[in-house]
Amino acid sequence: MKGETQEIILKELAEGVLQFDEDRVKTAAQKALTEGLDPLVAIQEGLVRGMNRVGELFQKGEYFVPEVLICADSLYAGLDILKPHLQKGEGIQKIGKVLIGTIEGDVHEIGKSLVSMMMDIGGFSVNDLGVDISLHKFLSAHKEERSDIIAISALMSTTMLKMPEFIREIKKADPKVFVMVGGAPISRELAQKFGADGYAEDAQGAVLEAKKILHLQSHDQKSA
Amino acid sequence: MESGRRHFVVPLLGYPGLQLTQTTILRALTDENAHFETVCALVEKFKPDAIFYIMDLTVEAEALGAKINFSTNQSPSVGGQVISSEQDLKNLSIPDPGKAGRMPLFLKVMERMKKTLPLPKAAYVIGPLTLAGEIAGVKNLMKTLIRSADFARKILEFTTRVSKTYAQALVEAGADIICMLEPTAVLVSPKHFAQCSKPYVEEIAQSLRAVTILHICGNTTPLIPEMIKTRVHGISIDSLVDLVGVLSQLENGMAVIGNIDPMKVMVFDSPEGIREKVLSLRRRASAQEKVFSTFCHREFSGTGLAGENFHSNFILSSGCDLPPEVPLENVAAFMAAGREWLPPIS
Repeated sequence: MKGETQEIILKELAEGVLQFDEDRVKTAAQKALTEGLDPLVAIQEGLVRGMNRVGELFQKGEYFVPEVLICADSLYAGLDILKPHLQKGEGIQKIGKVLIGTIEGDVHEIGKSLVSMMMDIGGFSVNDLGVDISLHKFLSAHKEERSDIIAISALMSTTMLKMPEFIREIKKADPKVFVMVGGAPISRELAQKFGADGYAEDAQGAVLEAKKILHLQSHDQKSA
Repeated sequence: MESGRRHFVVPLLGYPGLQLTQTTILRALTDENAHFETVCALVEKFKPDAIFYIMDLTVEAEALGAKINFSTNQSPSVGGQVISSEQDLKNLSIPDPGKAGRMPLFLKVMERMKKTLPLPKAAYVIGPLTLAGEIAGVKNLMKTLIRSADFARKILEFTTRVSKTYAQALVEAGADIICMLEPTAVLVSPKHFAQCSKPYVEEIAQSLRAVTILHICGNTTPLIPEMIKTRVHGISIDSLVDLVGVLSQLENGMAVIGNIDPMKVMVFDSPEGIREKVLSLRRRASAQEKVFSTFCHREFSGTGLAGENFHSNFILSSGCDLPPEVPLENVAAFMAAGREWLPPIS
């Protein structure tokens, strides 16, 4: 296949996601398959590239939650077409494991889901426990399958105040796991005060923060 | 007597009052006496310029049949959506505030507040977009705004009628001020806000013979121009928004309410730190503050609490509802710093 055709298809995939045009994404994904484009390249250089651009627009305040959710739907519509054609064992390289949930007593889903989704697209293997997650649920999920990062969301000031206890107990159970927190009432300063290893203002920032944390971890391990 | 400038001081109290009456969130939100006594204790202890009853974002959704998760020391939350189709929406009817769920409890609390408390009394109702999110699921609603604007409009027209009916009943029960809580609006673009919240908030506000406030949590900076267009009397902003910047945008006769950080400052700072932050905010507001509208002036005057020389359109408050853990001495420091006289503007 000509490089030119490949570029056009990749651009269509990225633009389709960015313009939250599901039909455009589906058409481009089909075309990628018929033209023999490597599905992994189509996912990473097309769909994911488009979604990263969405994340940037969200950070800049040009896109808001409704747009991001619809963009993600477009991305997943493309993934549904491309994924079955990946070579066996071939997948998007996972760069780390994240366990995520909204804290006990708090049923706010949107912020947590955006982070979960952007982490997934950003290359992490994500176990999303959902909302209203007790300390016990976090701990037993982590025991069952160890994650590199546990990410906790709280949208209410009342539930946010449970974070220090959650962080303390998680660290007690596994001193090596990194804990990230986020949510409207939280600031970086508070996150530090609570004993968290990471904090981000938004979903795109959370992916960058998670990468930063894990990089530090591998650095530490090397130097140890 | 002292002269100069003072500001109205109206923190979003409520939960910290539970420390005064030794009661739980659950009890205060389900027992009329516990709720009323907590409100009275707050007035007696802190003497704010107006008093809100205790915030509960689930009253309207509960009245519409949503399952509510209650727990002893957590704010209640909506447990699941009640509509997923146009047919579900058609099956819902406007709840009767005299009968549905805990609406009667809040009406009775307001009636008793009116009888007993000699200061402006404020009630919360939920905003149309936020109620729509509660009954349709926030994620679904967000997508519906783009995918099916027509269905979104039908949901919003319905939730507007729910909030309006409830708000009118609260005004009849004695509320001088209705504060619409529209936190879900912080998720959408100014364009969507203009379509999906602003006209409905405006419609509710215009239907009420009361002072109206619109409160949205979080960083609402991009929404401020549209919030102003709702023509409410006051817009209430969270700590992430530049209050002086909002003051400079306000139309005549509108007030801004805010915005000391309820967590970083009110929970974690010291009384001295709180005094500094309150005075700094009040001084910075001087650059842009104006005389408050006469309508609101009437509501607030005669309380013996308002400043004599200057009624500012900046009302000192917390950026959002105060959590139960706020030390009472911090609230006292906030009130005292709000009451200090500042020199007149030369």
